[in-house]
Amino acid sequence: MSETTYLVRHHTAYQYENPAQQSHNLACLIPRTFPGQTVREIRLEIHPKPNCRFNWLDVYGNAREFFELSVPHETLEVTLFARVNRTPPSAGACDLTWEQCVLPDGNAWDAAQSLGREFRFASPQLPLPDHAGFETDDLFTPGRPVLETLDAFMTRVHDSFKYDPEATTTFTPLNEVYEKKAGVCQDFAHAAIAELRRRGFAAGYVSGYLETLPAPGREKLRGADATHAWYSVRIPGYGWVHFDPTNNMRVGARHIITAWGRDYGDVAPLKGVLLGGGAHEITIEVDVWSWPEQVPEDMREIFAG
Amino acid sequence: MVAFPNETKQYAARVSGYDEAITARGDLLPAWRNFLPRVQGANEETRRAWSASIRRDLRDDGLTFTTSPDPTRAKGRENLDALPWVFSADEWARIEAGVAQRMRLLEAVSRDLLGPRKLVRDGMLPADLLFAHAGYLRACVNLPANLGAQLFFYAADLARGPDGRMWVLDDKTQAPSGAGYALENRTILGRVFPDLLGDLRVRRLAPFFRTFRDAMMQLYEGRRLEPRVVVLTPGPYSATYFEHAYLATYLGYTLVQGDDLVMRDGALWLKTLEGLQPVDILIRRLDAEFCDPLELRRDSYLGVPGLLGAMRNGRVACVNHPGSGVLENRGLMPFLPGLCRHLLGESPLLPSAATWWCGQPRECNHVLAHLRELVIKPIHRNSGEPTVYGWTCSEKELQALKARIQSRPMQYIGQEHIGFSTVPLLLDGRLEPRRSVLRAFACATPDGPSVMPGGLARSAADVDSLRVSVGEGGILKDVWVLGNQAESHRSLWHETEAPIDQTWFGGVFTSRSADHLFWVGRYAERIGRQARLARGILQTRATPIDDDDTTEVCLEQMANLMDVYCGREPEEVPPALSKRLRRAMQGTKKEPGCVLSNLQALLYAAYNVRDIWSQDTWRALTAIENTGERCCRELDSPFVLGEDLDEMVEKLYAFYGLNAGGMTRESGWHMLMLGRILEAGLGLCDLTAHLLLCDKSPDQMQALMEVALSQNENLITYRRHYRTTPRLHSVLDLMLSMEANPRSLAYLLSQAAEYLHQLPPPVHPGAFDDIVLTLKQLRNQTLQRGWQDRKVRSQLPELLFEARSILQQCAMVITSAYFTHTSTQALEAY
Repeated sequence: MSETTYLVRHHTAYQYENPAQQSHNLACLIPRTFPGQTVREIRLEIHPKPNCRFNWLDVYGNAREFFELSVPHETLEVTLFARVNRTPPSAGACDLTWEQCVLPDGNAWDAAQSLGREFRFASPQLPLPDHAGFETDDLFTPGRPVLETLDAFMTRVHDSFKYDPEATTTFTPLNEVYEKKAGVCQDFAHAAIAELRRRGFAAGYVSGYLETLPAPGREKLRGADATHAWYSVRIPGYGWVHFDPTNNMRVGARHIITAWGRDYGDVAPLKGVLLGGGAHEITIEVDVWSWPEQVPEDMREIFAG
Repeated sequence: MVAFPNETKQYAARVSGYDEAITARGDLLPAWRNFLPRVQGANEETRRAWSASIRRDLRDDGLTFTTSPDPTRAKGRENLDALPWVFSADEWARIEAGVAQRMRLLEAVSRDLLGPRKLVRDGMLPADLLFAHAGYLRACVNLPANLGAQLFFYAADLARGPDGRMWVLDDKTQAPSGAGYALENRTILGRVFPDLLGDLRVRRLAPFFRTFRDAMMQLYEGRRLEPRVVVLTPGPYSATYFEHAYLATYLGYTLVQGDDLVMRDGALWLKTLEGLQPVDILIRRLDAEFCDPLELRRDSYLGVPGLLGAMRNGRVACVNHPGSGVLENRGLMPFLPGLCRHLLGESPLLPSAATWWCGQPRECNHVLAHLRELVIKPIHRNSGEPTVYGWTCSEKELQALKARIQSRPMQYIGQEHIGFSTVPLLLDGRLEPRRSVLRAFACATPDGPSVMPGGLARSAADVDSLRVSVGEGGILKDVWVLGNQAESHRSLWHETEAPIDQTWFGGVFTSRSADHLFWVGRYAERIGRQARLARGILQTRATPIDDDDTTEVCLEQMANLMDVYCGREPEEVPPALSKRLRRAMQGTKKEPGCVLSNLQALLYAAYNVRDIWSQDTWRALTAIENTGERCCRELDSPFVLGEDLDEMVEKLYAFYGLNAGGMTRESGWHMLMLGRILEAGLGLCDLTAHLLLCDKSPDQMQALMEVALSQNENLITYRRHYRTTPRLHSVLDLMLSMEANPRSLAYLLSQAAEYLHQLPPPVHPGAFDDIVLTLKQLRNQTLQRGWQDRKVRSQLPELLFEARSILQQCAMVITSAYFTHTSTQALEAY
């Protein structure tokens, strides 16, 4: 299949109540390169100009940017431009049953995969639940092929939770999500990951974007796309398979992957510690344009400079 | 002459198992042959004197392992034994080699686990062991150390098993504590046995600390030629704060808290009165997870946002590496012998106690089957779960333990119990065997680990007990390693070849320290004036002046003044005098201005800058605290109270004297004096207003003037200068206008201006220059007064009001110019 190219624009603006005297920030915004996705060009603009900024790869291989502002500032704007090539993941056959992919305690796993075991543990935002947050026992019938089981599981997550941006915030704990049975993509992913880990799977949290298509005959609106999140499951000998429970679909060429970690906290797009500043307001705008045809005129030259 | 000829035999009879000093047959082992007979030669009186000397030294040093949340409550510990644990040169050489090897091994493991994690990929270590441990901080993986060692300072807990070999019980790799206590213990025992250390050729500790300092410079990989080192402490609320201060002082490093540091322009800086100064090496006495709220625990206020960033940026080295807690995983124990062969190609020199990690099914089953014989520990030291000795548990407790292990097997280890050897202690003047554990220390050098020839030993308080930790009543011991040749006495500062960074001596005052010093000055002065007034009230009550009415008026005015000193308005109908006095001394919970709470505030501020006080100064502070507390307790016995008040006033002057004689005339001193002067000025205004501005009969005014002069310590001066009974204009002249009088308002105002002038230039000089000018103007006005003139006297209230407000403004200007950035403003994480 042919590859698709996207231009992503992800703009975040903080407006502080009082001038912040200093801020130290960590961005996890730059999309990864890995089989199936190649990052062609990147620009990360920060205003006001940081006193210091640098980047490195974190323990999971995600690109991190540290920046520090030590002059009083009332606003902070961070804008990512990324041109990314995407090829759809190869859907090779997998004849494992789900039981064969559940990781027992001890050292049954082969050593080469052992670093992946990290993803079956509780993580800072996701303590292992001692009971299921939603009914899934009926899906895990003996001997069922693993991909089929996991697809059914994704559908169950999709059907069990209502998409409701008002229901939760970034820091809503999992048990509350389980109670409300509602939330956004982050909550869908967290709910699925916790249940999968409880069952002994290694599951991770993935942040990224999804290209949205305007209604037929309509223009695509500026800034109307959104950041997105989903989960991936490790299948021994096969690899990580990504599932998007919010949209009830396997992750494909329309998904752009930014970073993965154990939960949201590992890959929060922007976090910081602020001296002063008081309350703040955040504005986020995201555009995912297929390159070059959808890209507005003024954005075409973005990497020229 | 041997005072206790049969003592060894009696001691031997009480020993069960392996003893460090005597054989099963009752003969002294070689290392003890020259030492123990000296103890046996000492009679009861001498032994009591030893213990008393130790207790006194401990108390004076305010040295404490206290876990009290209130640092000012920290009393001296009383848990240092008079007898050291003695090791022969040969035996120590074996321990030294073993500890050094262990440190090299752990360094290699750390480099792997905080980097490629090949040990996990290759199956040498179970992945689950790494991932299940809360000490594995992901943010610290691949974090550059900027130092030639991730593990720079290391401690191992060792005990001797029944087979006579030393076994490793535990590894301390984050921020090992106890080296400061080892140093302090040696200093104290050096006073108890002045000749013995030399006679026995006991190896000194100072060379080790010099190696520590030199090695850190040699291993530093940053860009600065003379790197600045600071010690980061969580602060006086930490149980080991004293040790941090003690070591920082000894090594010549600045002791700082998170607030003192800032990450700016990609580097780390120390906030001082002189501005930001670069920091290149941070000795971390803070658990790593609290070090950086940006990348580690978001809720920590003890660290520095951006610290890990500064490390990534290559601008600061952190000792030990923030990721080194990964090694404090007790589940690593069973794998270390294999790793030693794999990574170093050597057989382990020191055995570690047989350990089973319950994350492995077979091992877990073994542990569950032998719960009763094993010691069960959580793999993570800070998990809050205690060590459990299986054989001390009831059946029910064992079942609960079993359930805990089964629910989270990866979090536990089972460890074979090593029957520790016993060491002789001197308890109540008698030799007693107690089970003991040795903590050995080592630091990395370019040539490999260097082990301290000595250490810290901890002994159980009871004969059957295994619990040696200080929190559980354990007793500390010094550790003596006998040398082969006499060492010359070399203290740390002698014979250093390298040029010493000037800032080590340059009296760097962090803004936070300056803030505390300012308040030490203020509280000390405030307490002094309250104590003098309380003493005056007691004296006046005991020996009435002239007639009862006059006495009554004086007492009334003095009590009113005391209220003002305590920060409260005198009531219209005040309670009885004794009640008012009690209130002023002890206060109630709602009254922060009483003597007792000022005393606590003084000690809190002083404790926060513990590293700048000399031993003598600290002793004076401890004495102020002790007498002060006695004063507040002994209100019902005016005689005792009076004596204690005398003593407290005396100690306050001793404290001033020691500072005046000892402190360099730099920012710290200026801040201390400014605090004192501003407070004295405010006090003088209150005193004048309440004792000299009242409308009373001439006789009563006469008495009040005497009280005022006496309270301002001017009575003798007045008599010498004026040779008459007090007259108001002369009293005002002496107390307000005469600049030669160091307790006069004119003098205090000019001194305030002078000290302000000497402070380093503030960032925004505007308000600062204004206040200096105003102080000078007011001082000139005060000088020029002709108090004989009734009209001039009528302006006195106005003058006092103005002086008060300017002095208060002055305190505010100092605070905003120098201290505001030290306060933790809302640090917000998003």
